[in-house]
Amino acid sequence: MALADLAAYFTARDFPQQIIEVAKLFSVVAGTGWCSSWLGTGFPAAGTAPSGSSTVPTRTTTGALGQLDASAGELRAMCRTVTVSANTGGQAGLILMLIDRLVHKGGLDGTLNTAQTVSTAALTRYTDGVGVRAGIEIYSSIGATGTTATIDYTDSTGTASQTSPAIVVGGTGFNVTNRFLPISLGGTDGGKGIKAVNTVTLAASTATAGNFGITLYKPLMKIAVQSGGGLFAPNADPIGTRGFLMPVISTSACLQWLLFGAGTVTEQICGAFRFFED
Amino acid sequence: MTAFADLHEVVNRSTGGNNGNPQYVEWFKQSRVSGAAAATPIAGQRISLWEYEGAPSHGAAPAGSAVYPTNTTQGCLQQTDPGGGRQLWLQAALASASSGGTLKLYDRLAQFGGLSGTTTTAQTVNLNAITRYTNGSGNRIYVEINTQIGATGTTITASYTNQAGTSGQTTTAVTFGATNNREAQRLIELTLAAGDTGVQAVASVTVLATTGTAGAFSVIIAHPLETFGVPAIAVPDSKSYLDGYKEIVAGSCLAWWFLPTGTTAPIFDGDLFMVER
Repeated sequence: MALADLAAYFTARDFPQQIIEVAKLFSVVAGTGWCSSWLGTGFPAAGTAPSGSSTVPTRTTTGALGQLDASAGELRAMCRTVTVSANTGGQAGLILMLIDRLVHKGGLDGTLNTAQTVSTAALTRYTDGVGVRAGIEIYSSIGATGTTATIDYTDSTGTASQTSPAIVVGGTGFNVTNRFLPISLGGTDGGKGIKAVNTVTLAASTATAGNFGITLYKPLMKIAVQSGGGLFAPNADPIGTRGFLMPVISTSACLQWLLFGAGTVTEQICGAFRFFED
Repeated sequence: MTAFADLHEVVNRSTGGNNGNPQYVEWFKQSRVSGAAAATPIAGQRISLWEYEGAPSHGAAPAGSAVYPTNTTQGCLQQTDPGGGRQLWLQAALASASSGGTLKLYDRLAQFGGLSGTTTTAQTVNLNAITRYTNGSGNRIYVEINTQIGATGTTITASYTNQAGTSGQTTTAVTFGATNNREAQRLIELTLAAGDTGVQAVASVTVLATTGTAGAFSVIIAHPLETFGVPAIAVPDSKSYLDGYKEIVAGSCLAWWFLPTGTTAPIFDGDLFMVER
């Protein structure tokens, strides 16, 4: 299905099937990279660090945005007037990324320098792996000693035993709770995506076990958040700078936000996230 | 080439109507090359992000033969070509860097690597079979340093065929070698001869005097597509149809270069939203 015309767009925008008000607080660390809202408090409620075998979170998993599935046709997300407030300090801007959290595995150790089993559960959404990414998500701070990590994974063509390029993990800016580190790809598919992660290996101990995990996710859209003084107030209406980007939301999608900022602060994502069916 | 008729059509195709096949490509680049930290940027000196690791994956240093990369070449953004005789249009894009500068999205049309910083005779590349933007208009020539060359400064020129099909044109000599013009991933534009507005082919490059170290460098023919100003960390630049449509020609090898304003090794992040018409 598709929106027929501009009038249909305005109808979808102004009379969406669902509006979910979000007020999500979580700590963001300076450095160069993303932070995950998964453990953040507020609404939706805080998710928990996954334990045991990897699992497939869904829209009903605590921590997910919790939208309803489409009753018919396709469900699309639309973001307007999202704001991000920094409780302290000021930043020139931020980036928000809406993701579908596909598979997660926690309980990994920041001191082991041998391969740690991840064995991600089979994808139930975006099953071809195209566009699927993997990230290291830190649930409890690992050590202050910087090292690198690689994963052994299956690419989107189904070719197993691919080794990712090493990324920095541990050490200042790469070790504290909520840090989310996207993993570079190699692969026979040109890095188009991932179907599964077998293991993760740290090159050396970070000196503190902490708790980190591997998350498979599908980026759905990014939003530039510009400075408006102490409060960041973007114009995220798709009719503007995002060129009518209104991603299809898969059935049971586990939606959450990643945030790329420049300061070490507690951020609050506020806004009305709209969902419409077409 | 036909334009979108009106906003009604834009909305319709952007949501998948009428074979719009909306396509979302998310990308990022770490400041790492070949498993190690990338060379420190120099303010005002372009960096090629071709070998920067990330997703989709990094490219390899070009080999010593003429290659005409496509949308499936490792190192590009791996977008899917349009079908059914349709064209692919860049509807929106966002790009950011963790330090200030300018990001440029370009179509990498041709490459020839393995060239030496110590050879002072013409080094033949014969990049004469580009498959996109074949009339040459708007195409540019770059030298991409893949392995550090020597500490002795000299100049470099290329012999090329311009947009009018005139062969034997020579670029203006530009600085090559020595600090700031020798480090890996440095990207140096070779200025076209006065009056020329594009490039159909490159025959050879000539290093005027040895830089002292062979290293390895490549010659690239590229077609610039879009410019993103990224003033500071986490301050991205967003473009959309409001800024004008850009066609992503079938087979385009989409890649990035960065012109930094400082010396912080940045990471990069962004997305492309494309629609067929």
